[in-house]
Parts: sequence; structure tokens; C-alpha cells
Amino acid sequence: MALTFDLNKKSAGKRLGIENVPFSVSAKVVPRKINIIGTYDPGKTEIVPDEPLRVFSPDEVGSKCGFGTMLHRLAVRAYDGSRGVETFITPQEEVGGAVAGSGNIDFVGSTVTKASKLHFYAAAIKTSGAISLAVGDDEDAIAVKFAAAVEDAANKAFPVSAAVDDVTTSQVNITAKSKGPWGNFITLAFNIQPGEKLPEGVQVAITDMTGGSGVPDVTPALNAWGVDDNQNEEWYMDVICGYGQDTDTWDKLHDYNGNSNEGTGNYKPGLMRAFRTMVGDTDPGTAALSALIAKADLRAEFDMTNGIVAEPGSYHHPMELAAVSMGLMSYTNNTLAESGYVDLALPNIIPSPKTDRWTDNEDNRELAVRNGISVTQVKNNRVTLQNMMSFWRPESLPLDNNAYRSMRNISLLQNIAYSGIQRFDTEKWKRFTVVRRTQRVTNPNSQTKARDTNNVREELVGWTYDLEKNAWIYEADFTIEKLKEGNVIFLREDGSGWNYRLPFILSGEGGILDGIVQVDINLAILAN
Amino acid sequence: MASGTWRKLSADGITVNVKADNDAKLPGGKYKNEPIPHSGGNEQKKTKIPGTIENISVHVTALQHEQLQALNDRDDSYSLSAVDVNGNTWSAVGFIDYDGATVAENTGTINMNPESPDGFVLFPN
Repeated sequence: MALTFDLNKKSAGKRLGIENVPFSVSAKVVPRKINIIGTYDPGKTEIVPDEPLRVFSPDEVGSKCGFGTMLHRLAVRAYDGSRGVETFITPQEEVGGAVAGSGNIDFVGSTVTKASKLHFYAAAIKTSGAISLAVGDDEDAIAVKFAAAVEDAANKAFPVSAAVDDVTTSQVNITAKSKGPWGNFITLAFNIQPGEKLPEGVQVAITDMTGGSGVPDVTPALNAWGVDDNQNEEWYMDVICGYGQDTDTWDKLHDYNGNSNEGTGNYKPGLMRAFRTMVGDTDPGTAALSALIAKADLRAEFDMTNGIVAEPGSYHHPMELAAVSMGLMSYTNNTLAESGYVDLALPNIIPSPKTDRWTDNEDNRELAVRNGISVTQVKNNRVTLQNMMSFWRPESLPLDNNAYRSMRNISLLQNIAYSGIQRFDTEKWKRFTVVRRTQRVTNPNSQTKARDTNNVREELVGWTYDLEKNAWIYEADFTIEKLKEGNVIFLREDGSGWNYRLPFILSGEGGILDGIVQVDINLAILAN
Repeated sequence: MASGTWRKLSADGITVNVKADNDAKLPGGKYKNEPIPHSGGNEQKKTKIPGTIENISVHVTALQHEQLQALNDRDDSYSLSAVDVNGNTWSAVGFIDYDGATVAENTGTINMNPESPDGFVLFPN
């Protein structure tokens, strides 16, 4: 809203206002915004569902939405990666009739013979208070201590709650704090870090989490971000949605975000406020890769919104893995729009067991990337991002020409679109008058708004060099040559302005440096 | 192909007309070439030059004078172009050096300095 003078004012006064307006435009990296969609604790009645809320820390999300709930867990991981990129949440109510995933841990047959500790993890989060066992603790005593430790206030960020079973007293029932399939993906495990083992005399039988059901409809949350020409008005660029590999949710995210080549959704010309989003996958083994490719294939023709990042066999929740990945990508592109993500280490992520990782095999990684699956790789005992992909692989567009298949390119195109809109969204180009030759306009006031085709071309030349300066395009020369050839700028027949169709070649997403070193041991070659 | 003075200059969307008697010079190559003589002949010394279109006399109204002053004092770069008598446009991203205007004849002097590595690029009419 522009500052104005109140011409009706009668009271004496010397009033000064300050209006901060852009006087000139050069390509700048758009400050990114993360929005996390997920469910919250129904007991938190002060939360307004489907309304975006600016948040400043994971603890704030925990306090407002419930610690250990889907939104809190996603916020913890997103902040791990983003280190403070502007973050919002869009809380959604759990769907009516939804069921929380549950499992159990049975200590039947245990009697502690040497005092020691239990090392328990839910979704790779370790209980913070030590679960100390004493010599002589039997199965029931262990169950009581274990349940008490999980329920201890120190573990409020835990994604599950625990209670000793009423009938089988050696058994502790574990229930996800958030309802829905979310809970089914919380892995219960002991001893996942080196040097950890069960105390002598203790044995555990784990029943994996299952039975969670009920995915909320994401559409009201998306519509709350704006509809029609105000779609995604706040421009959330990186979206984390906690509903996992739910095709209905993928469809709705895609429908809202749209497709650039079709100019739909957030990609509508004039809007160009698109976002990108990813889910995670932790299923182990090469069969999981085949399953992922099958899922990606179904969306290859139309979906440039969603993607999957895989860390096979990970103890982490797949959506937490996606959240930390998205956070890290957001952090990276918040300073360098054109940066890729290869070898960026995911903070606080424990590597999966070696035997589970299809990602250790280069052929598998190649197959995944070619088929729209993002991969991680464990290097130096850290989980690192590699190629981050969207599902977009239409048959009509060869991979070598396909920009939107890469999440890095989506970041780049978000920024290029923004810089283009900003360039013509200045006072210079508002309420302009279309003339054939500006030099013939000699009325000083009229001169300020008179524009001809040359002015448009000047602006496009300036934009092109600006993009080159930021390494957002491979070279300016190609685009300048096209401008020289003509057929780029077209005067509208009704004199209402110009249309232009400007070609850019994006800068490359570097990641490959293949070389061959040739060697010989024959010294005779030196004599020549 | 006719010969003659520039038709107009434009800097960040501000268009100014060029004085009829001005014969501003297009920059030559990107380098000034000099010989460094030695006993075996001459070695070529190449010094990069800015590729400025210099000393363009323009007709400046009071409003344009203010606008050009403001442009002169800015520390960023912007679109520049000059249209020659044949309608060809020379474009670059860069900055101007505005030397002020005479009161009697409203004549200002502008140097247009390209920042982009290619200097002024010709867009034929």
C-alpha cells in the first residue's frame, strides 16, 4: 500500500512518512519461505486449522501444535536443514475416524543379569533420559521402567507415547502421537548406533507400527494460501507436507501448483509463484527402487511439483527425511539460487544399515535419477544429498532438454521468473504510453512514460546480462543473438503493449567431472 | 545506408535527443594496440579499453537534466542504448557520465559506459 497525503486533514502538524520503494531492479535471489502442512494435537484448541502461521522455532511449533506431533517433528527436521529460513506452518485437523498407528515392545522372558541401559529409538530419535536397568529387573519391571522413560517429560519431542499393556504386563504398547498412516512409518528400534547393545539377560520382541489410517484433505490448506490471481500470495517456495506417498495428496498439490508448460496453477503467467515439494522413502533393498520408479512413472507426464528422496533402510521417518532435505535445499538456494545439492550432508541424520542401501550402487543411482527419484549417498558416515529430482519426465522432452526434472532448476526458474516480473514491475513500466519513436516525443512530461520497441529490447538486454552475471544462464550471447535476429518482441496490434518470447539456456547443474588418466611404465618413451 | 548523427540515446528508459551537429564516435575494438619495440622487431601490447561512446551532445530539458543527474549519481548499472541514423540500435548494460547542460542552448554531454563484457551490441534495424 502506497503512502498518501490526507488532503482533507485540517489540524496543524508537520507530518513525515517514509515509504520504502524499489527504484531500480537487478536480479536478486528471492528470499525463500518454507510452509509445512501437517496435523496437530486435537487438544490444542487455540490453533485455527487451515490457516498459515509464521513460526520462529521448532519449540514454538511444539508448544502450539503439540510436541511429538506430525507438525512438530517436521518442523524440527526442517529447521535442522534450513537453519532459520522463514518458515510457516499450515495446521490441519486430523480427519474424522482417523486411527493412530501402533505397535508394541515385549520384554517377555527377560531378567537383567548385569546392570546396564536400554538404547531405544523411535524414528531414529533416542530417548533422552537413560533407561537404566538393575540386576534382577524382570520382564514386568523392565516394561514399567521403559514406559515411564518414554513418557518422561524429557522425551516430549518423541513421536510416540508408551503404556504398559493391561493384560500382557511384559508388553509396552506404543502409539503414534499423530493419527493417520504417518504412525506406520515410525520405526521402533534398539541399538542403532555403534557400541550399543541390549543389557545382559534382556530380550525384546518388536511389533512394528501399523494400522494408522486417515489422511486429511490438503485442498483447504492450499486454498488458504490464496486462490485465482492471489494463488500462493505469500509465495511459499518450499513445501513440506506430512502425508507421505499419498497419491491423492500428490494430485492436489500438483493441481494447485500447476504446470509451467501449460501455464496453470501457480505457473500462470503473471503469477509465477510456484513451489516444489518432496516426500521421503526409506524402504530397503532394490525392490524398493523398482517400486519407486513405478510410482514416478505414473506421474512423469505431468507432475513437476512433487518428488521423492530415498535413504533406503533409514531408521528415520521418511517424511522427516524429506523435511530435512527440503530445509537444506531451501537454505542453500536462499543465498545461491543456482546451487545444486550434491554432497550436502543432512544434519542429525543417522546413516541406514549398509545392507539396506541400494543407493550404494552407482547403477542404481543412475537408474533412479534417470527415472525421477532423488537419491542420497552415505559418505564418511554422513548421509548426503545427491541429485534432487521432480517426477517431471514427459516423453516429448528428452532428459537433456528437461529443466523441470531437477529441483535445482526449479529454484533457478523461480528466481528467473521473479526477476523478470520485477524488471517490468517498476514505475518506468507502469502506465506507459506506446509510441513508435520516443525521440519524437518532446513534451517533457509525456517523455517520462513514452516507450517504444527499443525500450523493451533494452530492458531485455539488461535482464539477460543480469542473469549472466548471477550465473543463472549459461551465456548471454545466445539470447542476445536471438534478440538481434528479431522475432522476439512483437508489438500488440491494439497498441496495448508488447509480447516477447525470449530464449535462455540455463546454467548447468554441475556434478560430474569424469577423467581418464593414462599411464605407462616403459622408460623408453622418455628417450624420445 | 545513410550517414549522420545519432537519432537518440536512452538510459534506463530516459530518452534524450541528440544535437544535430554532434559526431560522436563508436568505440573501436576492445583493446588499444601498441607496439613495444625491441631489437627483434615489435611486440604487441594490448590494453583493454572500456568501449565508451564518448562526448555525445544531447538536447536536455529541465526534467531530463534532473533525471540524468540522478542516473549519473546512481551506483548500479542499467540499460543503455543509442539509435543511429539508419535505425540500428547499439545496446548495453552500463552507466552514464553526465557532464551537465548549458543554459543558453540546453546542451548536455553524456558518455555512455558499458559494463557488460561485450560492450555495445549492434541490433540492426
